[in-house]
Amino acid sequence: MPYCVKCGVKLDDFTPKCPLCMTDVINPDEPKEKADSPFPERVSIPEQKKRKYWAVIISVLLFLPSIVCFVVNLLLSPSTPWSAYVISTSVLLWILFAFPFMLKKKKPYLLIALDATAIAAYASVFFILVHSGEWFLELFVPLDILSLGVGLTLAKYFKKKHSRLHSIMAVLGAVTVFAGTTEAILQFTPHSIIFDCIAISIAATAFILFVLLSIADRNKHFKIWLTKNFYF
Amino acid sequence: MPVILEDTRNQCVPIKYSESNNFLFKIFYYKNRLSIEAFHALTDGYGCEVFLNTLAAQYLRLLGHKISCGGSVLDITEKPKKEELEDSFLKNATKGAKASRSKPNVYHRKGEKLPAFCSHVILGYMPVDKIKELCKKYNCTITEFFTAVLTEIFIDFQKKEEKKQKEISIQVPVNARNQFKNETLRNFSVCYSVRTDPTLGDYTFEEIVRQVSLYLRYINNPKTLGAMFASNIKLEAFPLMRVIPLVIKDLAIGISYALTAESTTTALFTNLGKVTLPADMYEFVESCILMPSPGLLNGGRMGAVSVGNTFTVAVANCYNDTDIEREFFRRLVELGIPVQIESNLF
Repeated sequence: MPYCVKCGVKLDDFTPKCPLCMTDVINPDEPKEKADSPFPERVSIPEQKKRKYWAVIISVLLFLPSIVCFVVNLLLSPSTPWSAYVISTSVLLWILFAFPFMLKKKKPYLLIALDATAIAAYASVFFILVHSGEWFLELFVPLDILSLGVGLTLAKYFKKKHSRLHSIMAVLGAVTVFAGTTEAILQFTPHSIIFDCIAISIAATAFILFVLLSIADRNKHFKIWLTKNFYF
Repeated sequence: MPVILEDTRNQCVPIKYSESNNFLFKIFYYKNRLSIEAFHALTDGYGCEVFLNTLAAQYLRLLGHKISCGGSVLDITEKPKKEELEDSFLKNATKGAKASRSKPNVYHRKGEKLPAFCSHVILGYMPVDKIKELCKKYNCTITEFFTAVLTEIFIDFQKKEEKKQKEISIQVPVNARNQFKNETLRNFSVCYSVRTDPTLGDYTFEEIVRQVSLYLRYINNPKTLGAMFASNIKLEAFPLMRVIPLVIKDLAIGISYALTAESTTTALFTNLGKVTLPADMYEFVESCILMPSPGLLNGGRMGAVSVGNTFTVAVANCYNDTDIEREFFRRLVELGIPVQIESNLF
């Protein structure tokens, strides 16, 4: 019976390496007939929960009230299309919460793009029905495109694993870009009623924190002090 | 009939009620090994031990051997006793008592995770007499000794990481039947968390053993256990629990598990103790293995049991790295205990 030269444990005759340290086992008295493994070869992976089951449940919960509202609207007050609000809300919620369960694999880029499009489509329903000003094209669409861009960039960044410090820096960078661009959009939108300087304050704060953390990232001694004194 | 299947390389795959003929356990066979996997709501390690040994004894009788009853082998011709079926938690809970729950913020040794439902299993076989000799030298029980070894390993791991040091918490399940003289075959065990704070200074192994030993002896008493039972059954006794939909209860249990279960402990060491069999059955039994589930967060989950002179420690790991097992078994070898290893890695 062989021993591991590093761990000092006894091993089975057939084991090619020590399971504890993966050191090769050299057994000059290797038996001619290899002994059976103490564990079978077959691996059993159970069937994953049916994700589509949840998509069906959410779909029924969302579309049933929509159908009822549509029929009632059609019968009782066909001149006022109030059921459009209910139906568009149901469609938005379905895209946000039910559609991900329909996918077999995780597709973050598709989901982010679809969510941004769905939110824009939802807002356009209100724009078309209420006819209230140019806010949709001048304000909402640029902000929606900006959110889509920032979301896709963060999804691409977090596809690979990064340290906690770099992850926080990435989020701060995204907040800086988002808030700064939002401020620019608000400045150039003539009909905007949103108060100035809120977005730029957020952008400035996030930028300062980003700069501090990137200095810390380059300074080895400061990084060691951070890890020793905080749970990084 | 319960489901009887050929064993697989990966253990502790979730039991689906519909696929196991509405039983909360499955029985596996592989060559000359018989195994049982049970959902913890059904029973604990002792209950599984009694069932499996009784099943094995009956199997040997069917093969033509004369096997008597006794120890953990029940007489299948007798009706079950009322004491074997009672809910001992309800019976022995101290009304109004509260037990404090473990807090999170303990050290966790993480690594490269294995694919879902896969785990590394490493078994270590050791002679009981050598272990007892060592425990006598340190003036502690086997459970206290191995808990101390695990604690020391994790203190060393954390020191090497050079981060802010967190407490090490080893979860030690205890069979409450010993304290309450109970015969139930249902669940009747609770877990103690043995915590060590590495920020208090450097520990020698002897100090760790003494600390673990004193803590477990102090806390393991009927009053503490009664309070823990009361905390455990509080939710079950809540009137609205029957009314709340199962979907919400499942979600709440999942969240509660994520917050209070593995996140409050660094590792687990569960010792089932010595398996007692009828005298005429020992010649047919080489060893017993108690394997805890691999878990989702902690790599060092160990189960131990002994039969005859063979003490088996089974380590189930959800991570690819085997450094916890390596350090654990190397320490035992350094302390003079010969260890034989088997694993499902090859």
